[in-house]
Amino acid sequence: MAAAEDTIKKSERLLWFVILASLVIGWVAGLFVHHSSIADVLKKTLPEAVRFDSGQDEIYTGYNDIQGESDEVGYVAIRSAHGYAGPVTVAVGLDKNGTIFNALIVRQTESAAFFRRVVDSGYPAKFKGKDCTDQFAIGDDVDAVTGATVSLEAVSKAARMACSDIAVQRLGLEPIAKKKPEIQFGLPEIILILLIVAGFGASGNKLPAKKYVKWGVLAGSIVFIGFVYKWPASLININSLLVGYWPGWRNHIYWYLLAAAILLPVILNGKTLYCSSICPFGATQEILVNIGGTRRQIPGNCLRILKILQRSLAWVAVMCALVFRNPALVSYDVSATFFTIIGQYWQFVLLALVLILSLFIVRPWCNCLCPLRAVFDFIRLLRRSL
Amino acid sequence: MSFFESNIFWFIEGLFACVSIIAFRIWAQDKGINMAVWKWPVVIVWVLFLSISIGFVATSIGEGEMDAAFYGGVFGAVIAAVSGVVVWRLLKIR
Repeated sequence: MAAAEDTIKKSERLLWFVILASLVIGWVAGLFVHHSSIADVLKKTLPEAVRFDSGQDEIYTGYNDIQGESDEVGYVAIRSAHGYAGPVTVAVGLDKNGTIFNALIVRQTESAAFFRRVVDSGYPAKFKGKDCTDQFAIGDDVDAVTGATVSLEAVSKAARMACSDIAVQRLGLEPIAKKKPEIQFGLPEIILILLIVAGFGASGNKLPAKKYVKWGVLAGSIVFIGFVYKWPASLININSLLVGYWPGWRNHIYWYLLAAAILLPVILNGKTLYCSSICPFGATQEILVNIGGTRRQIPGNCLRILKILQRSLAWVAVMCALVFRNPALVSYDVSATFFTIIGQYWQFVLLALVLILSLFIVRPWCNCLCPLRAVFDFIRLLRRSL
Repeated sequence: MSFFESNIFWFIEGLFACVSIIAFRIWAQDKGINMAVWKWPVVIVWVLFLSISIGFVATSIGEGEMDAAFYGGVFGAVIAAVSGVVVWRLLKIR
């Protein structure tokens, strides 16, 4: 008996070592992945320029060689701002009068279906003709894009930074008073904290009202985290942490609260409190299985195969994020699709299947496919083995 | 006048509707389901919803609106499945 346990312990240790080693190798490999060259970007942003000069401040001056003389055509600056999953890098080309000649996305790591909304709305090309002193404020001089506010904010912010830097350092304009980013702590953060406290509190006590608190929190999470703020936790949050795309805390307190709610309980005591207490998609499945009234579990043999699939898919998603430095490169999460009604065709089909299955089986998404559950399983394996 | 616009088509349609309702009633009796008066409108509304969903998908495909057909099909299927389970549980109430 003791020998068998020892063998299991050894194989578990070997498994977590292999997974951990592969993740480290993936992270290191990501350092050598080649991204698009600056020369191509500069040429596309300011096509009239024949050659570019680079200053110390990462602002490129474009020259047009006419009859042996070199005339300045304009300037290009490349700046980044944090979006939903990571940095969004924008190149902005200005002519000598400070008017935007062209703007394009150099690199972005947002979820494909969400970022497509920004591009389909004409951004950042829509910035053409704007003045370098404009504020790029969404809802003011930049039209909002429904369902992709965070990504559009990043695009606008990066363009504003590029314009502002060129205006000050090349055109000699007065610097626009830079405001220190205000601490963004409002209703979304307060509601998230209340849900976390109530959800975690209800799971740890034996009060008679526990059941009602649990359902209240689950309903609250569907309404607020899901449909109102449209920001449930996903593997993209974990990938962003691993890749190193940590947003500024001042205006991303919600992000950090969510990350802490996901990871801290499982790291500290091995419990997946987020899943059982405040996950809005888990709550949706709970409601559906109660509507169905059968509460069947997936048969053991089938569940084992599905678990292997779940963990393999999660591993592939994390590895791709690390190697290509793109947290949302492999994203098959359907919870965001459910709450935002934005996604690829196959995500809608998968979502429909999961919702219909949820009527008859207890949490099919959580038990069979959710990548977060696979990450939690790995952390628990790590805790057991150490 | 085509067949689908003629009176005979609607006569056959009505015949099928009557046969379907009688067949449903016999099936419900066999299953031990007591079809109280309030259960009939519930079933009729659900069948209408299902028919409209299928009709929406078929019409959209016919019009070449594949996106509408896809989204209508997905949303229709999920809503029909969830409401179908609710209707089934209501039917089983004695």
